[in-house]
Amino acid sequence: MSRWICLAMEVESAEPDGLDDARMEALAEGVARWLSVEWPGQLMHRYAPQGLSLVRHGPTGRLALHTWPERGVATLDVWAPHEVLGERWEALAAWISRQPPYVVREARLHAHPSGPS
Amino acid sequence: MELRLGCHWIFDGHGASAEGLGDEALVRRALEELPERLRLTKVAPAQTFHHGPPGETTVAGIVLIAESHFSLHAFPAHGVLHGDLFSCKPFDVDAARAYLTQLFGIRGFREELHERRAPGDVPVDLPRHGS
Repeated sequence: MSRWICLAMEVESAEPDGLDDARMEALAEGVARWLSVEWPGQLMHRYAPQGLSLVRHGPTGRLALHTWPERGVATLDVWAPHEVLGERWEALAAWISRQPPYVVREARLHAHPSGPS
Repeated sequence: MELRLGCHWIFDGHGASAEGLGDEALVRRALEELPERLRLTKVAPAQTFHHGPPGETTVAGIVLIAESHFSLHAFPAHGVLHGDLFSCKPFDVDAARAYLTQLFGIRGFREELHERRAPGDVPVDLPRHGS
């Protein structure tokens, strides 16, 4: 049994349109590419008048992204087996912060404790 | 100004029934029912999917709610149910735990509850928009 972990991040955008739907989809795809995983499944919900919830999922994990564009804030959570994310979670957060206009303000790793290390 | 984005409950249920955890329909039922019981609002049907090789197959799923999301990942061979519920609206964690305990025969939980916030100075609640 792989030990799964969850990386929870709060992300700010320095540009008003940085959290729009297309750019969020591109960011989700970028995270998948960075991790070298395929997440073919997708769920999306748009809020009125703005805001987005986006989930990508596949055999090697999943990602959930929620935006508050009026405040320039999003949460971005990634679940993956330890062998996919465990040694690279800080590098992933740093990579996101190098993608203008995004800055990861907080990143925390939660290990599901029941799995073996 | 600090913005409260919501509460994030991350949990493992252990000692659960392998039969229940391997039942994709039951996992989907939990994803559909629990938000309703907690007075949260589903915005789309739950999606479930299988992971892993034969003998180690796991069942995972997620549902979007107006308040954010609820996900489950069941490991039948190990009697473990991973999951998380993230909501900008307060919810009854005890009721959620009791529901999952009854449905999957869970014997115990290990869990974390976090308040998700955007950085700033003054706490202010920030609800999601309506669906």
